[in-house]
Amino acid sequence: LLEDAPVKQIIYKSEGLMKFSQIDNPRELLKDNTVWLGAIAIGVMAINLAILWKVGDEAHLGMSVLFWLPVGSMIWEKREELNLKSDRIGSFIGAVLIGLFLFTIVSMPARIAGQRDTYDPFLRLMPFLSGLGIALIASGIQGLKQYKPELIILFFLGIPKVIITDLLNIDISPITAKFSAFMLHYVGYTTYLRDSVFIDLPGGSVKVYSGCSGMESMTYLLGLSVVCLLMFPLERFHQRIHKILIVTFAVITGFLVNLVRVALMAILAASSNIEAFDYWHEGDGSLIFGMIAVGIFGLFYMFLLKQDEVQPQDPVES
Amino acid sequence: MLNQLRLPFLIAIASGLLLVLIWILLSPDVDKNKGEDATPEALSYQLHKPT
Repeated sequence: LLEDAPVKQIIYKSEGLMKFSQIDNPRELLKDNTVWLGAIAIGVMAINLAILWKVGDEAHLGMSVLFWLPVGSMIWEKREELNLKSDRIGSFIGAVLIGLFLFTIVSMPARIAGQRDTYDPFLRLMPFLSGLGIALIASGIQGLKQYKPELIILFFLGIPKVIITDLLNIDISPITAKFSAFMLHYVGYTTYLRDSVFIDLPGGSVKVYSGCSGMESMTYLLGLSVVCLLMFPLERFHQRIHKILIVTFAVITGFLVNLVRVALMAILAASSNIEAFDYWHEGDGSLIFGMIAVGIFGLFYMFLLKQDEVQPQDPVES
Repeated sequence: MLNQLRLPFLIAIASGLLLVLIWILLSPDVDKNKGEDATPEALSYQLHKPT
């Protein structure tokens, strides 16, 4: 084995692929493809986060950090085993995707300027497309399967929302308004649902638009459940039905937490408390509901992990 | 041949990313209050009063 080690090192060096543990000379780093691939990956991640910060989409920025960290961690853990041999077609498609990513990012601030809503479907597609681009540049089409879990996580970061809201034009705001009005009615408020989306209370009313329907919260929790299932796989609850139930629980949690938020908005609108309304709607208060939804799902998954640790007892022989 | 071109190719992409990152960090913040609310989505922030 000891005699074989230098030969291996020479092979890796001739292919421009050094193992991280074999890098001892800092100057050699600049000649190493692996280091540049790492720099590209870090650059793409930094740009994805920086543009969200620049356009002021704090909610999506927070969720993006939550999704990019496991992706980085998973890649880092298997860095020694990755096959980093690309092909011409893979490198070309990867370069086109990264070029498209950079073009979209550069045009983003001008598109967002003047809008109060910072949602842009392209910003939601970019993490997956740029991640796919890096994977193709790093390992080619043949090596894509190595990055399957990471690409799944990046897919769920924004693409379900784009598919549901922008491609399929599904708007669940009438359902949200109906359930919120129902909830307020049972808490003791006199509510009236008008035109499917207006919740009227004595003193004021709110209109539930698609942006407030809870779809955002539901898709985030859906993605978070996928992150948890990939990062912390369960041994006892590994069947498909278990995974479907966990994902369903996450989506329902997102919907229910948003119902409470909409109900609170209606109460604040009825009391004509504009400052409080703005705080809970657009200000820091709006982020608290997202944190509550993430916290509830986090506790639920921690409970499942605890249950997973408990070994089923052997049957007692009589 | 492909292997020899790979390093300059990766350096070019990394440089492009670095330039865009610097451009993002140095560009002024997006003024969300400038102009009219451009999308119907933005109207969701309106507070509706019953007539």
